[in-house]
Amino acid sequence: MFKADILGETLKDGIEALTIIVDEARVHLGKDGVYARNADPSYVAMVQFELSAKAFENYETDEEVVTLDLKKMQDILELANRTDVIQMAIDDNRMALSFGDLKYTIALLSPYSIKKEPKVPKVESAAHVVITGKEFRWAVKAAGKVSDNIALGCANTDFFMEALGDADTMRLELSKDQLVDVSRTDGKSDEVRSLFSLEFLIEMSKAVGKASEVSLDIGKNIPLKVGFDFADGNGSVSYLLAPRIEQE
Amino acid sequence: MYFAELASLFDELTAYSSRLKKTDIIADFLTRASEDDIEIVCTFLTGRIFPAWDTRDIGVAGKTLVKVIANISGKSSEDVIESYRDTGHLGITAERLLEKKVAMSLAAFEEDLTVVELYRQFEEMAATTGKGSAQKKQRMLANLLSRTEPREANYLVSLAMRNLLIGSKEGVTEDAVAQSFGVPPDAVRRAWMLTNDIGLVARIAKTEGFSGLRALGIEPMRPVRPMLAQNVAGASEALDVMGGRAAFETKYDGARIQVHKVGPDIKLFSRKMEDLTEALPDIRVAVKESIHADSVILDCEAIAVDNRTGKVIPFQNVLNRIRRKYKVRELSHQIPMQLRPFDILYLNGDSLVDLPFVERRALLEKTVVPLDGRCKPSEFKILDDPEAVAAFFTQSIDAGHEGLMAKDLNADYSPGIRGRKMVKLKETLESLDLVVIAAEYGHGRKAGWITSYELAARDEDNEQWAPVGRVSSGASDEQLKELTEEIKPLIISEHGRTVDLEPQIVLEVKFNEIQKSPNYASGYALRFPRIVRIREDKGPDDAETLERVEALYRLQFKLKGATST
Repeated sequence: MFKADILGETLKDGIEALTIIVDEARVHLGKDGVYARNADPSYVAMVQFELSAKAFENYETDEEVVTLDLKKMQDILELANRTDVIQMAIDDNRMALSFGDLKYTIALLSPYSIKKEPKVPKVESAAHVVITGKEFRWAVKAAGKVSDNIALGCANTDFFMEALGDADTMRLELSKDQLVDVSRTDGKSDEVRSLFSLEFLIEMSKAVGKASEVSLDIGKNIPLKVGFDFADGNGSVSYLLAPRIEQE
Repeated sequence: MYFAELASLFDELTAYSSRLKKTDIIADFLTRASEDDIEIVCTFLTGRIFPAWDTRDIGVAGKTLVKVIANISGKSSEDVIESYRDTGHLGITAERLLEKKVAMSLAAFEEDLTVVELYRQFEEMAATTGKGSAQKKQRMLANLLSRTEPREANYLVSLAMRNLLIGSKEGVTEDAVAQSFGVPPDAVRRAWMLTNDIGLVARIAKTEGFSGLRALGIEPMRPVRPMLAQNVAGASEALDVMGGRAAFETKYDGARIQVHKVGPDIKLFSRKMEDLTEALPDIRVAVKESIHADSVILDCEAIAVDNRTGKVIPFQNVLNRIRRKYKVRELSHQIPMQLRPFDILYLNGDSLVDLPFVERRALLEKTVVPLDGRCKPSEFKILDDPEAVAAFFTQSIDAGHEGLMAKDLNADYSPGIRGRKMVKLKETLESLDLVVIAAEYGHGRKAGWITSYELAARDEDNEQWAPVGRVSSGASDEQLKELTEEIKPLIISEHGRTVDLEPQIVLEVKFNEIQKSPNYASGYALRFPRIVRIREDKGPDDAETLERVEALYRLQFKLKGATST
């Protein structure tokens, strides 16, 4: 059993953050809130998602794990306003979604469609950078004009995003005082960088762009961790994206 | 245990050619392996992913691996194929190209791959079937390969392709298990032959020692390796080998089938231990009606009979029946099959393999109730007179069969052994079962069909395929079409009309003679080879060895009274 009421905006944003990585997700409906960890089929990107029970107007659960068809939910929620309160109920392998005068009942997916949650790889980053969501989205968009890949790096505490196309280049450099926050977690000052496919980053930046701040954990040829909060700090999303290796 | 540790062992084994040295190295390694790891390690050592009796297959094609290697290394598929043409081995190609990885998945940042985890992933691949499964397997392989060092990638690919070149086939691993756990090699060999599971044998040797091994035996529903026969020249030689008196049976021109029955459940296995239960409904029914036992394992020959004439139909048609996954019902009317049980290995809870053959035969006759022609024990006579044997032989040939089998009356059933306790007398000339390693598309009328096949024998010393010639005649259009369909999924690369293949298909070929030849890597070439039949019932492990080709080469000189130089 699961029963909850939630603001349209929170549910829409939460589902969007997940659908950037997966169409279907295994979701834990726990006492303290909702939790999910899912990776895309090729295991290049992963999302870790938490939404505290506090983000809901009302929240009751017997604690269970369900597999949700997020694309279908997203489709249905297009009909809801951001200000609507959405009533959710899960019982007997079905989920009811009610808002306004509408009531949808949709089937849950078989628990076997996603057998297990991905492991979280251990990554030791070299730098922790915080910039505004808007700035991140803008830089990713800019990179897309010249390349399919973007490098994120840090030289000492100067953060940069760089795209190298066949002929054209794009570089955004932000020094310590232009950033919300920056620290070298490895205690070093040399340049570290990793290259990423823009494919996922462009999608991620759509969700990230709404957040006031986004944290980036970066290093040398390691996965990028992109973290941000939503639902007034009651929800958090963290993406992990595998790097591409730069040809020397 | 990390897979990297096993890869180091494989590296070390590759470095030595001495069997004794290999045995020492493996024995030492096994003492350090945990109970959980040892089953998997020993099975992997024999080049297999699953035990020999286990019919599961990960179902990964060479082409899939080419794509995965291309993706991770950032090269094109053509580059990978180019490298494969150079190395002749996808594992080595993987090792070379994955020196530099471009695309990475998060898997690359997970903990190092363990042997158990790899095995679980292989199990998952084997269980992944249906729509989208090829893609899913491709992703699983990509994740595995992105977690491994290049040399591990080599062995991982080799295992996936069943082409591990470390020279630790069953014999060496058996000896190493015996040495490592202080049990007699014969006990290991016997347990392995009976269970068909070297991993299980190793674990029992480690945990329960000699008494544990003695307690291992055959079990219904787990296919047993068939006992094999050597050729003899004629009736006198057969009687000589058997000590003057022996059991003779009709040698049917059919397919070897092992029948397993427990209560109402019946399973049918091929010589290659494939599950044929679904393909042979008529045999299933015959077994149900004819065999009255709670549990039984029977060694049988399945033959096809023409419904109108009642005559035996050649072997190739039997195989057509077996190979068909579809139209089973339709074909079972067109080509009805009959069963000729000739040995019994297990009955009502007891293994019979250690009983003398005559006693097994008596139990077989009690267990198999003859059903008109559909199921009856093989024709059987105990003879001591060469002329009587010759008459029985002629009778068998006249009835459309292949000849006779001769069996030592006191012999036990030795699974997987090609000994002289069971020999065959055939009328046909010498033929060889060889593996197709490459092929060529035809032209003109045969454009689009694969019509020419490069044949190879197993070079056991170097664990390579030794090409001995090319065959393009002897096959009917029907057979060529079938071969084309079977070969297509095995294609690793194409260049012009030529295709390189995973060595899987075995052809039986006849030839006029064997010549020395500088044109083939083996040093030998078959003169005027022609295809006799497709040996669906044989896998690459059953192909002839280069040693035998050499022996035949020398033999033909002896027969001609000349000397080979």
